[in-house]
Amino acid sequence: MNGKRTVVVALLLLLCTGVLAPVSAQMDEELTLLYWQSASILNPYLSGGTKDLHGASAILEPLARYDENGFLVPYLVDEIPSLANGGIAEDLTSITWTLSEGVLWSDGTPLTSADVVFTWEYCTHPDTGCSGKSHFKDVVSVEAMDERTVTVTFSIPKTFPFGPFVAQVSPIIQAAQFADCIGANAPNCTEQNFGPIGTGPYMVEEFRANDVVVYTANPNYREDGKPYFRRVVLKGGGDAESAARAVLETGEADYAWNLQIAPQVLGAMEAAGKGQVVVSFDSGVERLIVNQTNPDADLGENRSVYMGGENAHPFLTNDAVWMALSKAIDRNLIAGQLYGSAGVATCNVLARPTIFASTANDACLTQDIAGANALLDEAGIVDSDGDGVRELEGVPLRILYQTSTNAVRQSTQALIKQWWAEIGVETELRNIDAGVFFGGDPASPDTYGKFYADIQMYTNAFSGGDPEAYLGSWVCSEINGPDNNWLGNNIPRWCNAEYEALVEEMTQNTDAEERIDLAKQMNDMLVNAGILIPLVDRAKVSAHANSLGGVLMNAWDSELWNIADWTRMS
Amino acid sequence: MGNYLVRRLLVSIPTLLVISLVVFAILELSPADPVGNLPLTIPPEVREQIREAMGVNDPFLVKFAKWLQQFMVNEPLNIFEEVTGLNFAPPLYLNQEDLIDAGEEGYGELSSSLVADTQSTGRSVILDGQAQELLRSQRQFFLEDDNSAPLFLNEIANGTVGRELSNDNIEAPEGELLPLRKSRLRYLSWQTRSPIIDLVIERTPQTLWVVGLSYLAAIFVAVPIGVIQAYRQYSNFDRLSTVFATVGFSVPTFFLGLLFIYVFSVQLGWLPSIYDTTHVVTDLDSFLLQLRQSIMPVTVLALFYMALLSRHTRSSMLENLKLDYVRTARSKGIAERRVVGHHALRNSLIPVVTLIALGIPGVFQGAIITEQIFRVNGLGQLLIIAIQGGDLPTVQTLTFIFAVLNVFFNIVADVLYAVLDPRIRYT
Repeated sequence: MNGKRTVVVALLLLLCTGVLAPVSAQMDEELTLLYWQSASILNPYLSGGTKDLHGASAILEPLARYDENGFLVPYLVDEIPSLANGGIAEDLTSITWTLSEGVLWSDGTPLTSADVVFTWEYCTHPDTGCSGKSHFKDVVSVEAMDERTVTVTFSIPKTFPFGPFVAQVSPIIQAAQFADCIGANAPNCTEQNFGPIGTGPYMVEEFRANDVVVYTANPNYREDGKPYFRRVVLKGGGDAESAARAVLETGEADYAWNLQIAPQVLGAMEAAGKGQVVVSFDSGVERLIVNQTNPDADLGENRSVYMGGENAHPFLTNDAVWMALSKAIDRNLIAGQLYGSAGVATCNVLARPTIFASTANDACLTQDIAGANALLDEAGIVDSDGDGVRELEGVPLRILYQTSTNAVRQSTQALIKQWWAEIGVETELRNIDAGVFFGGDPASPDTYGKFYADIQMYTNAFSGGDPEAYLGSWVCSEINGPDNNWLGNNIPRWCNAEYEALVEEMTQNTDAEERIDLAKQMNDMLVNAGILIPLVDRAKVSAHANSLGGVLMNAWDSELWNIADWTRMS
Repeated sequence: MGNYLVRRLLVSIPTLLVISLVVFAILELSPADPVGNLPLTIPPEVREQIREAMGVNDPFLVKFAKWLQQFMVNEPLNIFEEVTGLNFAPPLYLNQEDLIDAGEEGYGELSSSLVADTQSTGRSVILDGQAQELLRSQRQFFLEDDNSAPLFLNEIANGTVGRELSNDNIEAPEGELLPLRKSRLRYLSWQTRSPIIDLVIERTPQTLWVVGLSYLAAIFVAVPIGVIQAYRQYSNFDRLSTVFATVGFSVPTFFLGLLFIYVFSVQLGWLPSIYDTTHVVTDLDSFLLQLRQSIMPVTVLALFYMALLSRHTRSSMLENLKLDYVRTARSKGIAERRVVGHHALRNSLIPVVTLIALGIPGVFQGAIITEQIFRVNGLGQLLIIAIQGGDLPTVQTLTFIFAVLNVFFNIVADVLYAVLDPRIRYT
């Protein structure tokens, strides 16, 4: 009996030591990436979600990518086409790319111009439902001139012809693999969508949707000796905070993506010394959008509908009001306390690339509550009935301020509500689930497009280094409303002929310097029209283990854009 | 008993149909948008096209009919045919004449009618050698055609349709029949664009392992504890266990899970906080790793289930120990161990077994929060991601599967009741 018991105890102990042995150090040959939202599909054209674009970017490559500063770098080509090297036609209606020699797909077959042409056909087929379609805007044809040369022709002169086949949103897919997957057949090709053949440094070994992607090194990758890892695991699930902890505190993973958590918490984790937080700014600016139309529920059908100047907002179109609202905000406090290293206070809706950033509006960086009060008093907008809320022509300044549900946004809302109370403006706060708020259900009253509120807040950005299309969002024809089935880009419902003229001028002007001036001018106009109140210039935040080398945080393209260079440092 | 079972099973069919219709109707009202979480850089009109391609804008009844056809009919038939190698639908023979009749202009129509036909019925298309030859020689017409290219005929000409059936007989010798067929349309998720049933099958193992294991552990620990508690009512053991049960039941899993991670992963570094779903057990070492990564999620969940079960066992046992038959058994001089273990326990377990059976569907549903915390990524996490992403087909399907399990285990619980308790008879 005793002997038996001893054996059992010994066995249990043995099991315990085995089970409880410290988590072993990672094998040098494996890289673990933590994405708290994991890839759902590895065909970026059928998703468009950031997590899916990143997941695919280790496999599929575009002709050129943006680097960490937002400049183009060649990937599958030797040089970026330009007017100088003849790659861009003099009349700006076509661009010619020449593929690098000897690039192979991971299955060993050569990459040819037919693949590039096919990619265009695939994405622009009306039934594919391709999320990257807007990057092929105005493209009339994509022609293979020879095995390695492709010419993209546009219907209009394009001053910035780098929409198609550039960046993570528009990579090249293999024609042979996807030939049967065009149009309505696209979603039925699960095998292809889950395991695309690419030219990138890694290829799919196993994919479990919304859970994990296991990559192995692509033996046919064009750069000798790269990539450095035999295996890469992209693990999904959980939340941002635990992902940060796994990299910065327990060292279980090498890289964690998108860590928008309280800067104090992140800082404390980083202090553990196992990893570092990296940030990169893209064009995203958190802003308030000021409704130019009347969102009064009593208007029924005409609620928040632009009617050519009729139906204007009862007080937000008054200059003194929006100026006071803007002055009362302490942007530096919001950026410093809520965003930390992930945000910088800004007064521009076009803050990056920095060459485009205007300095004309920087006065807004200083909070001035007294000044705001004085401004309203001067304009005769005073509290006449003693309820603590000012009135403009009898209409009390009561604001419904909505945004998506997100801890940082709700904290921002609370701060701003407090400041506005100090200038006699009463604010009602509302937050809506992001999936609904940013959704496009025309029957839903809660979308940002419907804008059934006085003010709303979110971040908008543009992909690529050229703001022309972004600045073109605020023209009259883009005003969101029932006429375009709520598919317009002009959310504040603002219409200004002078601005329209500038947009037109920008599409014609090819001079780099003049374009920058134009962009600045347009930015100044937008913020001085009181339709957009910029708050914070936002960065993407990730973290990587100290033992991981080669990471160049990039917010302009996939964060895994240079994963071929990532390596283990001893 | 047999009659009763048949009746119950038959009644469950309309029940499930009504449940599915209600689930569909409720979700139809949901404002969640599957493209709502995409970056704002994707313009509204492109989003609209994506929605169109997904079929988001289809009318309610069309969506419901699609679901009935694709999920309730096509999926089971596909699986059945794949397993048995049988094909229910009679094949469709095409010869050269049929193709010539269609003519170059009519290829598109022929193709789309063929696609519709084969995908809804699962019929094979069999072409004779000459017909194949003709198709190959006419390939340029399909390729040159505009975007409405007759894909199916193009595939036939390429010999790619036959792939699903077999890889070997794509090139049939002259004059012989080549069976070509597409599998019936499957019910796809909006988010992953892959068949939902595959996602469910892929995720069931980890949910069963983690949640099921914790359920089993809870049963094996909770029942003896409950028995001892009842037998030694108001003893120190009883009091201590009651405290533990109260704590286990009232401390939420998200708190306990984080606490465990903080202590065992962050501070002590003993256990991994990330569950590796791709881990395969091949030898002792990998089994130990599997144990190690399961300990925390299993314990957190087991504590929760345990609390519930031990309380039920205790109260049921207390009730029985006071009854006359127990006193009778004791007075007859039967050993105490047998009185408790055989007489009292058997009777006390009747309600507990029912409770356990009714809890099994919950095992399949996964423990949403625990799966999320430890990144187990099982069925619970699939459901929550689908809800967040506005992926209504996945939510509908999962809800339906859970409804089926609930109805089924309700029947099982009723049957078990009759088996365990001879006083109950179903007719």
